[in-house]
Amino acid sequence: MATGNYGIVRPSDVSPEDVEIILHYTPSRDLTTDFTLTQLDSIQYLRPYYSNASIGGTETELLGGLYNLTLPADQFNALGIYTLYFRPAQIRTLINDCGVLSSSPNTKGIIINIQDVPSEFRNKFTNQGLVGFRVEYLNDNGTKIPNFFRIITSNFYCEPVTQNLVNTSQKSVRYRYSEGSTNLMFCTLTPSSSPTTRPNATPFIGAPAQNIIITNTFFNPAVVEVEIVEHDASTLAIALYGNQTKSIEDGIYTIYDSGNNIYKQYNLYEIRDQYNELLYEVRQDRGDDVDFSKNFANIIST
Amino acid sequence: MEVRKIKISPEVLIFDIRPETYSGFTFGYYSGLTEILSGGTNGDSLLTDLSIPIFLKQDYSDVGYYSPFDGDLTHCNENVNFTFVIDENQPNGICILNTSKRNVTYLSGATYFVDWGDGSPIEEVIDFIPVTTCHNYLVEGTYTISFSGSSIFGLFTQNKNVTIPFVVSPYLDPDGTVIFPSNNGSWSGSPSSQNYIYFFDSNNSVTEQISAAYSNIPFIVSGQTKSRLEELRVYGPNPFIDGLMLTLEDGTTGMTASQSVNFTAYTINDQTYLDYPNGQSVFYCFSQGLTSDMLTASGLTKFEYLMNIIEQPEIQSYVFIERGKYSGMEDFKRMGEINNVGSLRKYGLGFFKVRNWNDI
Repeated sequence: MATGNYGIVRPSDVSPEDVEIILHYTPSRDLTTDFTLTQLDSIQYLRPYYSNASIGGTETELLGGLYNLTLPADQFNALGIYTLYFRPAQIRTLINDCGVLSSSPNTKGIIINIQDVPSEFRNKFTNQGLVGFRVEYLNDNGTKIPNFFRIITSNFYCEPVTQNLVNTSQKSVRYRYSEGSTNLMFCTLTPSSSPTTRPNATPFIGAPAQNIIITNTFFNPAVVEVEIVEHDASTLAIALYGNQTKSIEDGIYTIYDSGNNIYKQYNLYEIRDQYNELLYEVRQDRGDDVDFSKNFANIIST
Repeated sequence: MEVRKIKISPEVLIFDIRPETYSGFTFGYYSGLTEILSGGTNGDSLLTDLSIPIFLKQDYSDVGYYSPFDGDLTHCNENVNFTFVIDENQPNGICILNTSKRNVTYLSGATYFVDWGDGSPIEEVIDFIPVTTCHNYLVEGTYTISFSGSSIFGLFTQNKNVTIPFVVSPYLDPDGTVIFPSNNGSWSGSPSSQNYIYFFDSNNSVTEQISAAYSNIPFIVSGQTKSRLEELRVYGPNPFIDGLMLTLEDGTTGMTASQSVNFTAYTINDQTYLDYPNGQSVFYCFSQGLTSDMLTASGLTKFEYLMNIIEQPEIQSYVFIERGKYSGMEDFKRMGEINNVGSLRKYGLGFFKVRNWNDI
């Protein structure tokens, strides 16, 4: 008898501003090493669905999970494969300092100067506003430290205090939480404490002046592949199962789609030799030279 | 990460095919998406903005913490243990009784073995108390009986020494003296057990028999023994000096604690003994039940996620822990299930409200 199970997946109700949409385009699936990535404005193109009375809830309540993505025509304007990569918005900043709390020297953390944070993300830097965010680190040469991250477990406004160290004449800058808002944010990370078996093996949480990337964990990264194709099974089915007409007089053969729009138009004719022996039967695509008199409604109305 | 694939072909478009009107009939025409993408003026695309639904989900981890006290907590000695009695049918017979806990699911597959310590083959113990498993020692002497239990959580062994021939101390007053204090008609102070031989055993009020949900109450263990007071005698006019710690011949330490006309109290190797004027010697100690003060608290790196925000003590004692609902980010094995009233009461810091039937 199990005492209970619970799921660990939920529809995300992330705000579009916390999403980054990366677009990759390639005209074919041929081998390419030339990756060109662009970014779509998530605030403009990603819109959440809202509840309504018929499904329960109000129209101000985010439905969760389901979003509507606009594919702008100026970007989706060619045949090919468009790969859309949805990832949490990245907050790029740097570590102002790594320190400890004056009242609790065992509590280690990184200090971020909010002025170093891009203005659009500063609203996240409130007390406990970054809990659950992930911190990734960059090397001095700009490369990212792979397979390495820390999770923010708490963040509070703080201010530096100067303390005398017990054993030396040096003074140490430590930090204490501030009731009011300041420019500095003290973030505790996990893991940051030493294992009990190796007390001196303090986990790395960053270095002063190191560039970092802070990302939310509000949703799982996702990939959607949009392929704009000339034909797919549906359009090929038109050729097989769609309405068709053949004009006996001029030999124009027309294929209509499910909405009776003209999908293809051909000239049908025969080629004979000087003895009037049939050599070929030809079906020739008329291309843009569409005979509109062969529209389906016009024909069946006669 | 799953990749969702969407195909955009002319058939799924409505507004992007070239419109036309002929003889009053309105229709569209196209011959593939290329026509749409280049059918506008000067070869411009006719394609307008498209719209696709996407689904975003979040895998989350419980950001809670585990508490060592939210499940069942039992000492290893409760899960693997035995006692032994004399086998009167054999000249040097000893019978062990398997007292291991058995009414829990996580020990249902446990196996038990006894090594009698005299070179005889290791024997499997199938039965539990009150059924005995007996052995006869061929040679007198002191042997170590190793009783082991193997379960999904490993191998645990209990060792106890037995001296052959085995001598059982006689009970001088096996029934003790039951005192019914006058509480103005209230029976709340009545002792619940009469089988005691030591007058401190009469402290059997109900409040001393219950504990917090996470602990097992330590109870007093007492018994008759042979006096060791003489080992604490020192030279001089005052042979027993209270508080004077002595190193005995066997390397242990002991001291006399107090002397009165009623009894003399002393400790040897941290074991308390009482000698009475009538020649009786008794010992008493507490069982190895767990209480919160027996658990060592330290900075717990296991729940880093909430480190320095919520602190819980880390258990460094030798115990079995049933993780409860606050299992969170821990890699854990759930040891037990709720299969009796006691577990139901203790589960998850009183997660279930259990009441007696006559309270309902």
